[in-house]
Amino acid sequence: MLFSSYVFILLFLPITLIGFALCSPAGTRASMLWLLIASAFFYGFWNPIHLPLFAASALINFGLGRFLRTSAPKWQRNAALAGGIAANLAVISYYKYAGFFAEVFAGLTGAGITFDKVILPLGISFFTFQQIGYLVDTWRHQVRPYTLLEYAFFVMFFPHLIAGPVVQHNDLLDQVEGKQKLKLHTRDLAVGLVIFVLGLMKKVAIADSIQPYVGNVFGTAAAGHSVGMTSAWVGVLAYTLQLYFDFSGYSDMAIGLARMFSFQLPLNFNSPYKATSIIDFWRRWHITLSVFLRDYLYIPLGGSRCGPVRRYANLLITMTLGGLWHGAGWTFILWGAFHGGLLCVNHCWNAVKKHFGWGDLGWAGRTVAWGLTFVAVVVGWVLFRAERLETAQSLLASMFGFVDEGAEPVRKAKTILVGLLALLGATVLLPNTQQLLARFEPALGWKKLAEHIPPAPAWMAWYSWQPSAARGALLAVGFVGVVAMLTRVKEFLYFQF
Amino acid sequence: MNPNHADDVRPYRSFLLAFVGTSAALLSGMAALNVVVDPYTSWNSRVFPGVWDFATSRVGKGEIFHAYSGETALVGNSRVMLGIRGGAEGSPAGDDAEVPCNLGIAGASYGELQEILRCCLDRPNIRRILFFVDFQTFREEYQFNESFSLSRFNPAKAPFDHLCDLVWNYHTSQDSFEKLGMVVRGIPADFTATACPIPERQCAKESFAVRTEKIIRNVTAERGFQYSPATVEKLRELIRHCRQQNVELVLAINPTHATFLETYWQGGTWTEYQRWARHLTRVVQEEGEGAVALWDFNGFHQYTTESLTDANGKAVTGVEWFWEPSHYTCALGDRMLQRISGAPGADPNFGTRLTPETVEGQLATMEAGHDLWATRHAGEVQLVQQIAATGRIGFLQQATHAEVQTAAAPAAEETVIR
Repeated sequence: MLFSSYVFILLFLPITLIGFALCSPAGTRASMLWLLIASAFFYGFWNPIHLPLFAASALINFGLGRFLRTSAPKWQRNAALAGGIAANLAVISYYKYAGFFAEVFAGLTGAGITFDKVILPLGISFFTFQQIGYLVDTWRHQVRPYTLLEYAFFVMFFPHLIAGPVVQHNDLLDQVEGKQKLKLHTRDLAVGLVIFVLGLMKKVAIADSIQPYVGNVFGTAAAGHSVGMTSAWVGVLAYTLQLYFDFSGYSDMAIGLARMFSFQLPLNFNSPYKATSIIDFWRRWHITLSVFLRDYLYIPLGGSRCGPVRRYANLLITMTLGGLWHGAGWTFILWGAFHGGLLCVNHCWNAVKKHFGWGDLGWAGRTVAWGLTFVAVVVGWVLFRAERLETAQSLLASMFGFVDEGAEPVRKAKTILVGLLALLGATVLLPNTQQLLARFEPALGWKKLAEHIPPAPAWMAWYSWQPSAARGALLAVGFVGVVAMLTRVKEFLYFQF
Repeated sequence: MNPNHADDVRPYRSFLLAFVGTSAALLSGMAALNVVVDPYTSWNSRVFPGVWDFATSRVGKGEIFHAYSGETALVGNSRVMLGIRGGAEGSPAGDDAEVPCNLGIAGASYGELQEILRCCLDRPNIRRILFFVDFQTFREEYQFNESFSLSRFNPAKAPFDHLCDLVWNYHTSQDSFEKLGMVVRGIPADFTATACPIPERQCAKESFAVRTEKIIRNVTAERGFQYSPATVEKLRELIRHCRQQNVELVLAINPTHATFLETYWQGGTWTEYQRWARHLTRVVQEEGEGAVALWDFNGFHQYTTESLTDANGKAVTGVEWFWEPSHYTCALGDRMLQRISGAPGADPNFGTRLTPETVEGQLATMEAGHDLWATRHAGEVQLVQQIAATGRIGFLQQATHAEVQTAAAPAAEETVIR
């Protein structure tokens, strides 16, 4: 079920909220059970065929977790952890990567191996990572004992179920620990509603509106035609913005939905296009994935503890595998490696700056840094979106003027480009959803995060959200506006990852 | 968790009440508007008369089909929509002839036609499908027009979503407002379910020659157009399903005016047209085994060769059998149906049943007919030549793949219908 669908907004969500309120007097277990049933329905609504797989995966990981908490000999615990991780990776590999690996193997050896496409279970990349994280933390004895209900609730809670944020077990379950009752709170309901509707607007009104330009330009390049420079920039900028508004809109909806039930999810986006370096970018883009990769891959590989060469190698490995996580294809692998390379360059530059004692380079330096970062990210998105390397190559050549004459698949491309630049300007200059709601702790661990996120400037005080009837009515107008546009909604881009 | 719980809860409550109240009021208002105005005749509210523009849109056609209880579906593009009588009533009382359901949609892509045919086969009451085809339709074009996605033909659409779209979607609301505007301005409500649509509104303003030029510039097949053999092969599946379900299937090639056909010669696609006709005939013969008829109404004959000028050389405003060169009138549509059904009084010289035995003769007749027509209508040939000389036969000729995908359907629709 999509968050941005009639059935979710008009039926599922109100019924789930009412059921949650009704279960509240019966205690925490009843409320969690209700949310678990609702989440199973949410997951199975689209394609129930994968619900048993999901349930089996949760049960097996829970069982493994119980074993890892015992005082069994170390080798047995190590073997159980390795087996658990391998099993999780085997499942995701079968569904997501088997076809790609078979293709690569066939290409290298000339063997006639084919692999029929299988339907990818929704959210498999997310729930696999979350469960691997749980196993590793249990092995490290960093997990309190959970009941099966608690564990199932952590894995299946519908706001984060399909496309993240990548939630860690303690992120969610620490919020129910020791509670006698879970209930609806008026304040959380209001704050969650604002975050949800703003996310819905981002997705429906912005991301889906610019999607046709992306399809036109990438489709033309994929068909083997050269694209003119203006259209190429329109297509690539449109994708840059579409991806951000689509995924951050989804994350906002997830955070808002959880908040309606008085749960907080971790922040996933913090205005990534305001980043002035690639390191900064990865602290702002898909934050929960970055944290996961750091904690469960980069650091176990040695992180920065084994000298600069190992550090850069670890960065490259981590980012390349991060690219592969996004999809089974060379373009994703290359995209990951490209970002790994950029991170290495960034760390080198920081080392040079430190060596020569260069401090802040002033606003001019920051502007140049922002521009370089943004262009590098945009180039990366070309690799990310293109289905084949030739398509990416062709578009990059068009963007940087290496094509004399190309088709202009976007009508009034210059006007559209100006519009996209204006949207980019707003994205970069305006405060984001979290800043708008800063005083209401819009995400998990907000207080810690807020130290790095400046509040909205004073001249934009009007922008800060306050609860009032007038703002409720205004939000309702926007909400009804997006409800009227729901049919044209495309799937969330991150569903495919 | 739960920050600010010490705050006064009243402003939050006011916020929530205002949100819920305003949302409910706005959504109720939109629903009332769309149900009362009923642009697609979905609710049978009859407060305002049906308006052709909306009732024959993709959404409107989906609603007509939903309400249809008869046995015959007419499938095709705008040629069917404008040229074949059909409605939603099924078998009207006192009338022996069953009224077929006209599912012709403007600028239909091949993918859309496939979905409509699938819907027909899913409906047990449909026992007969008349599929009107064109050379240009057979291209790899599987995308849906946005309004097609809104319609009941969209295979991915759940009934609940459709219901919500009919009351809340902005397209529906926009069409409701437009329909209200047309009613207020006194534009005739010319849609009746069984009568032929009346495109005179569009045709009355200019001469047939002007319409000819516009059509040739805009909606003919592009220069060097090559049909997709895969799309013809897909018909095998349709024919097999029809035979399995005992649904009678008739295919018919739409007639077009001679000036339109001339573009095949000027645009260099005549050879490709012949290849397509032979392929189509072979597929129908192999899968249909004589049980599926393929009629060809195209060619240079008395119905398609009416002159653009009268005896004094003055441009005519209209001709009897065509609204403009690519769309025939209902009078010609009636004759096609008569011929297909073998009704008494049908013109035996109009339409050829294509089989492997007749297809070469039909193509030779077309070629000879063309040569004869070209010598007698030098002015019309010159008109097409002039357009060809400007490099503008077919708006798709230099378009990219992506342009074709996005522009084809709306552009055709605008030119023909609006």
